[in-house]
Amino acid sequence: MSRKVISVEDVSKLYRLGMLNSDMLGQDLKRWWHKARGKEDPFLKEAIANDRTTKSESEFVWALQDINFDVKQGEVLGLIGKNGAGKSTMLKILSRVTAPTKGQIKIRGRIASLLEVGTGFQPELSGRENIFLNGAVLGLRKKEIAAKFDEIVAFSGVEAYIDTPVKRYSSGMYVRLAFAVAAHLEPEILVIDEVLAVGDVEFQKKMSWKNARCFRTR
Amino acid sequence: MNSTTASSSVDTVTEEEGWDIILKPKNKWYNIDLKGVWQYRDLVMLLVRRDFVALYKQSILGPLWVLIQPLLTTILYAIIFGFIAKLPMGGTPPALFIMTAFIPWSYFADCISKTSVTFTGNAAIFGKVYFPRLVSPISVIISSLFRFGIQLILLAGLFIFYKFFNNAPVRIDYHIVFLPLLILILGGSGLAIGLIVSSWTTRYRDLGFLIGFIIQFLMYGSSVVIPYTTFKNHPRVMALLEYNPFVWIMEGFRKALLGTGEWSWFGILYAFGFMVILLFISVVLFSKVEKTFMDRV
Repeated sequence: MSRKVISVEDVSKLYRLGMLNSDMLGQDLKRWWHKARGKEDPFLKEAIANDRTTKSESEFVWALQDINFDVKQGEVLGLIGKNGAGKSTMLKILSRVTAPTKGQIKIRGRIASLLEVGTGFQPELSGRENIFLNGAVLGLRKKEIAAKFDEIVAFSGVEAYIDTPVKRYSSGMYVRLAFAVAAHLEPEILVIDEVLAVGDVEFQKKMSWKNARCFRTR
Repeated sequence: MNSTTASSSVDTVTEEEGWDIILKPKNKWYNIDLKGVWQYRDLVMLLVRRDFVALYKQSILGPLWVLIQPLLTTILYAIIFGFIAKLPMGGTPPALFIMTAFIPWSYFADCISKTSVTFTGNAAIFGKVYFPRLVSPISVIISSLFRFGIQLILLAGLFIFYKFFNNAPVRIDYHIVFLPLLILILGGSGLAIGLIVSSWTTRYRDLGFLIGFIIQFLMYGSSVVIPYTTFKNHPRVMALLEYNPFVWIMEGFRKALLGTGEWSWFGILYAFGFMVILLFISVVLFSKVEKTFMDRV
């Protein structure tokens, strides 16, 4: 039996709606005062379930409510749902961009997330410099990137422009380079948002091959 | 488990469970991920490099701006405070007197203003990928340090010009060996103040607007362009200035590099203690805010 690598337990996430304005100061002070006395946050009770079609009085909404699931080693799990269902929120919490309001998530192994391709790309820097910077942002050590550098460049198919600032790249080239870095992360757990819908047909095939390989070896 | 008892985010858990990461709503206040920062040290250095390469691309004078900015500002201050106001500078040429304190001061001011936008300025990248958020302000402190180092060469040039071509009564003092300590205090305090501002401005931006003025006010009260001996006939002002730890740092730079300032070990240790306490508070605050700032920024 393969062991659990992700365990999501009663995870809920609260978001505030509307504009951030001076009313908030009052609300913040009230929340703080309640917490300081060890009471529950008063606004948690007012919050409503996530339904984007009806407008409600409450300024708070539960994007996620009491989510539970496990992922075992070797499994591929997809989250599907309507717009605003909370898929990306779940992924943001999994990839530690934000914290859950309630509940907890336990993770085993090296995790990397791709919520967007090219995060941290610097337009002024060359493709070469950006490979290193982006790799480091995604959690690789410099020597790991150096070891995979040639493979990354070959995969991206932009060898000819590797010393050109990426602001001169076509949007396709930009994405190919960014994805090439991400594809070589080789983490134990990979969290992916809708980033795979990029590049031309040729590149799409290349990516699916790379992903298939990635999943098979885990 | 409910949220009031849940706490601490990234605990390394007991062996029998063997989980590597546990994500919970809140951190314990002492749960600061310094180990994570160390694991990302390559990213720190790549960000430092990026700061350098990207900043002066497509400007004709390029990195020379690192020298031109303090030079022009020094000339301006030397005219105002040296030649017009004739403040007491102990016979030292005003330009040299002011630059000796102004260059370290700009390092300090840079550290504050550039780290104070850590959350607001990096929202795009922080919103898409996780790495220890402290990596970003630490890289800013280091890249500012390089700029400071380059500006010291300018200062050395000015020193040589005045000492050997104009016989100015200046000399390098043995206290120069303690300069790294003074620089550490400036960098550490700058980081701490920047982190505090950054943490407070995730929801309310007001402090971000205010901090520029605060830095300027503080400069006039820190013996940078107005030597604190100007107030020697005003004991109350003097007493007030002595509470400002940065007075002792700026005086220290003058003592070490020109032989004219006042070297006070008491003042410098006071400043060091000030930095340690401020750093502690700021890192705790920053670690608390970094968990969910994306929902507010």
